[in-house]
Formats: sequence, C-alpha cells, structure tokens
Amino acid sequence: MNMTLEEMKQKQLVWQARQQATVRPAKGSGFSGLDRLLDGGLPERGMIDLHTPLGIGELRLLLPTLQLRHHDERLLIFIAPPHALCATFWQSADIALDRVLIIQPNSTAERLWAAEQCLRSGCCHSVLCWYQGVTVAQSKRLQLAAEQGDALYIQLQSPNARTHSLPVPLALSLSPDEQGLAITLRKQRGGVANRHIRVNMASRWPDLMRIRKNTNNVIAFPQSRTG
Amino acid sequence: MHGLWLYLHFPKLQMDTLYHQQDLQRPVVIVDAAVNAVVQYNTQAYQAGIRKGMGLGHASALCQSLQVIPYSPDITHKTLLDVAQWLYLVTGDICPFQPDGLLLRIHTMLSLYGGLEGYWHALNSHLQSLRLHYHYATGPTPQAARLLARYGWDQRHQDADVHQRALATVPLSNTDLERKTIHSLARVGVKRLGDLMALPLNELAQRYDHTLVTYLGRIKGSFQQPVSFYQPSERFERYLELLYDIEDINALLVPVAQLLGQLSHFLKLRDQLSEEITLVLHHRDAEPQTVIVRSAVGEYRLTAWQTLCRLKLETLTLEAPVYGLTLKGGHAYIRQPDKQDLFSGQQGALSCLQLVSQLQARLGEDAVFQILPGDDPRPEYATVQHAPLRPMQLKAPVSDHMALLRPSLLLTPPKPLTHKVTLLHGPERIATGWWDNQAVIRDYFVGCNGRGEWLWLFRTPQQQWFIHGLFS
Repeated sequence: MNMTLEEMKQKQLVWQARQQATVRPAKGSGFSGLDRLLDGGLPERGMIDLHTPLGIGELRLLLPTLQLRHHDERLLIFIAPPHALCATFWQSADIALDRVLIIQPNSTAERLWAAEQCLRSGCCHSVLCWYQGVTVAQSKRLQLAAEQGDALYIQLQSPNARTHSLPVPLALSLSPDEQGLAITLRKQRGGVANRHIRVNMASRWPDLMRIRKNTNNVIAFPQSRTG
Repeated sequence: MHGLWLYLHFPKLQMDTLYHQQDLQRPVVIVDAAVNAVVQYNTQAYQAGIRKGMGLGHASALCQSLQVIPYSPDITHKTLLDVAQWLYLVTGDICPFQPDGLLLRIHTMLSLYGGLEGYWHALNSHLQSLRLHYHYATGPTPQAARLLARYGWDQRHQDADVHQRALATVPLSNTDLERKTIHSLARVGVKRLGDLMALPLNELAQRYDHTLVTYLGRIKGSFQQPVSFYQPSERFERYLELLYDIEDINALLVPVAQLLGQLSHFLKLRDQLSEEITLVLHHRDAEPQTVIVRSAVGEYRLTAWQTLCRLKLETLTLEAPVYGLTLKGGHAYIRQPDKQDLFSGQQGALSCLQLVSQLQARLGEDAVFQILPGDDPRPEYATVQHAPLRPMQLKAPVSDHMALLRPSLLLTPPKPLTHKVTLLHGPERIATGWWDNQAVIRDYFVGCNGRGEWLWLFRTPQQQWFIHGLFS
C-alpha cells in the first residue's frame, strides 16, 4: 500500500500540503509585457535560467524585481560578474549597497559552490551568477538550495552556450530589440513554452532608446533632467 | 597546593594498535632489529615462553608458528599522539614522553572531577575504549610519576608520604641511570632508590657525575623538569596498521569503519561537519592509493560516511594487497542548525556574517567584497571596494548625482573601441584628477552598436575612442 503511494508521489499525482509553498504568487516584474508573458512576474524563489548577450539591458530588465526584493533585510549577491559593478548606478537605482555582496572566485567551479552556499544560507533574497554550461544535476541542486533558502537564483549565460533543457521553473532568452528587449519564454513550469514578447523599456529608460518618439536634436541639460 | 602528576606507560603500544581479529590465536612478537631483541609480544607468545629482551633466534626456537613484526618508531610515535588526542577530551595538560609514555598534569583537573577518584574514573573509562595495555602511577613530580609507572606501581594517591615510601622500594636497575653508575652504587650497597635518596645530595655530587644529581633532584622536585604540553591538531588524521594484508574490498570495510567511528567522534565533539574525507590505502608493493569520498552536505555520522565509503570502494579495484590505512578529514566547519518553518518548510539559518566567513574560508579573503560610491569624480575611482559587512558610511545620494546616467558594469581598464557605434547621447565632459598625476580629460557618450549592446564610450583629446561601460 505504501509502495503505491510512494509511486504516486513520484509521478506527482498526489498533491501534498507542504508543496504549497513552492507555488506562491509572484510579484510584478515592473514591465507589463513581461508580467503578461509570465502570468504575474518572476517567481518568488527558485532558479531562472537566463540566456542573454552581455550589455543589452538584461540587468535593467531585472532591476525592478531586485529593487522590490531588496526591501526585505537580506543580501543581494553577484557572483562572478563579467565586469566591475558601478556603485553609482546601483545606488541611484535605490539598491542599498550595504546589503550587496560581490563574490569573485578564482576558478569557475567555485562559482556554483558559492552560489549554493549563498542560496542555502537563507540570508540572501537573490543571487545572480554568471556561469556557462550548468548541468542538469547542478541545476537541480541549485534549485533545491534556492527553495531551502527562500531565494531567487538567476543564472546568466550567453545565448550560444549549448545546454540542454534544464529542470528549472523558468527559462528565458533575451535579445536586443528596437523598443527594448525581445524575450522568448523557453520554459515555464505549468505554462506554455516558446512564446515571444517584446518589452518596451522606454518608460523606465527613456535615454537608452534607439528611436525616440519626439525627435529633437536639443539635448536636455543633464542636471535638469529627471528620471 | 603542591603539584600532582600522573604518568601512563604503554608497554605494548605497537602490538595494541595492530588491527585485532577476534579469533586471533597465533603468537605475535615485535622485534627491534637494531638490537635484535623482542620488545613487545602478545598473550599467546607469552604462554609459549617468550619474554622481553630475547633474541629473535631464541624466540623462534621456542615457538615455531611465531609471527614477527619489525618494531617501527614511526607507528609508535603516531599512536602515542593519537592516544594523547583521545585523552585530551577528558584532561587538559598532556605531555607526550617518547616513545611510550604520557605525562598528565592532574592537580589542575581535580576540582573539575571532584577529586582524584572521580578523575581517575573518567580517565580510565575513557582510556578503556582504546583497549591498550598500560601502567600508571601518580607522583609529586613528573619524574617520580614516570619512574613509578614504568616500575608498574599502578596506584594513585594524593599523599606525598605514600609516594615517598613507594619510591624508596624501586630498585635502581629500574631507573634511567646509566648502567655504570648503578653498578658502582650497588658495590657500595646502594641498591634501591630509598638508599640513594637517604644520602645527602652534595656528598653524591662530589663522588658521582652531574646526571645522577640532576636525576635525583627531578624526582624529589628540587629541580624543575621541563615539560611541553600537547596541542591537538585541528584536522583529523589517523593511521591504522592491518595485521594481515587485505585484498578483498569487503574485508577492508571493517577496519575502515573503525577509523570512521573515530572520525565521527572527533567531528561530533567539535560540533563540526566535514564534506570530504581522504582514505589512503598503503599497498605492500605499490604506490599508495588515495580515495577521496565526498558528501553533498556536510556530514559527521558514522553510518552516512560508511555508506558513502562502501559505494566508493565498491567501484575501486585494489592494485595490490593493503597493509595499512590512513584516514584524513577534509575541511570541516561548524554545524549550522536548520530552521524549520511550518509554511515554508526547512530553511537555512545562517547569519550573513557566518555566510561571509564560510565563503572567505574557501575562496580567499579578497574574493568577497562590497562596493560603495567614492568621492572621486573620475569614473574608475568612483567605485570603492570595501571589506564585506563591515560598517560602511553610505552617503545619501546627491540629487543631481541621481540624474547622471551611469552604466551598471564598468570595464577595467577601458577597452579601445574597434567597431562602429551609433552615438545617442553626449558629450558629458569629465576633466579632473589634476591632483594625483592621473588626470583625465574625456568626453563621455552613450552609444549602441550593431549587436544591440548599450555602451558607455569616451573620447580623449587625441581623438581616441574607448569603451568604458555597459548598460547591462
């Protein structure tokens, strides 16, 4: 009798009350297009596999989520960012820098170790890690650690990284777009995959737009501009 | 309060640490090849008539099925330190006396255990688990305790007179004095230590050499005996010599379990977890084989390590018979309690500082840091690295500072621009830094290239272009 119950659990036919925590409602991502695509925004905890070229606005896309999450008194962690972080940017984005930690391990293997420690510790709300080619087993471990520590783990990889489909709750691909970013939803747990959407970043980043609506060649004096 | 010392003498240290099988019925002797004499033997050998100090020829003539093992000072030395480490759990000051004794300073421990009897009970029951043969004795001085223990007194007292009477009966042949001195003393009728101690010291000093006076002075306590106390190592490392060469993996698991039990005890007492252990298999005719067993989560329990070791060893082929095992504990850290929340399940409960120290321990001090905005207007100096989670003085962002468009990632050093970009903003002129010979004169622009990357660029007065940041 017990055996069959175990089998049913393995096939995920039985819903248990303790699974409830994993499907908590997500908060908005700050971009209406992305919210529509994801039915509400980025998940509260777990792993996000993000395929993106460097420098197209991937951190700016995550910024509203990070800002919101940074309100709880836990740490925001960057592991092995490809370049130095600019304090001015993060401070002007209202991220309290005394709770931001940057980890720069010497070897790539230690990046995932550090990520796991941070996630498991329960004192980080989000961990961003730049790492190429994470394996299925590694992603399962990270997902578990993120759930245990109630943290969001965002894994940034360049799009040409040849990785098979990972067992993650959410996998996104980003590419540049005239209005901001084009997002492909590669995988979402309990959602429909392979959907595309364009996110308009004009309202948040009016200065970083290729085409501006009111084309005028008078550039506003930097001090007087707001936003 | 006068001092009280306890000396433990282990006459069969190497014999006792041989891995014992329950049905062992064969006589075994340990022979010191340098002097060709039996130094240690087991019960079966004793029953066959073998005594200490016999030559190998004599011993093998008495018993034909004798197994002979060479005496190894290395093993004895290692074992003595292992015993010291084990005893350190119950007593504080331990001084190893090579090759086969441990001196304990016990008068400092008596109030903790409620007197000598309580102390001895704790020490003895702790020592029993090692299954070693030993003699012991207390003494008012280190040398007196050592002498009585080696003589096989096997008593404990706090009373100085009892010690004096016991010392007086020790024959001089049992002391550490030179054979020549003992002989010449015997010729004047001094055969026991009591006779010698009755003589005035300055008389002896005139007739005999300096070592005798020093030795007597140390027994009486008029001269200080230099002792250096044992400090336990922070890493677990034990060696186990096997009595037989083992070729079968399953047979090997039994002695491995014995070592793992000691590791488990070591970790449990320190409330530590280890993620990795190293097992070295010493082969008879080949290079030692190293097996590293890892656990995904830190672990201290014997059963967990046993399972992992079995799994690891089952995949292994032994290159040659194994005669010894070394078990080393890897990096260990303090066990963290888990927080169990009714709604969100099990959660980690490390403090931020604990996390930082864990990360720094493995990755190095400099690998973990924080950033804060500096005062310098030059972009490369505007971000200052800061040691993690130390109090930092964060200035409230200046309002016009807010308006500056800055990239999230900065290239250090700036990279020359080699491809075509479309400029969308600029210039923002930064001409400053005249005070430290690192002056910059730059016009900054925001641009976008064909690959959709948003770049922060600058132009020098020489019309050279550089990429300085990414609006990631």
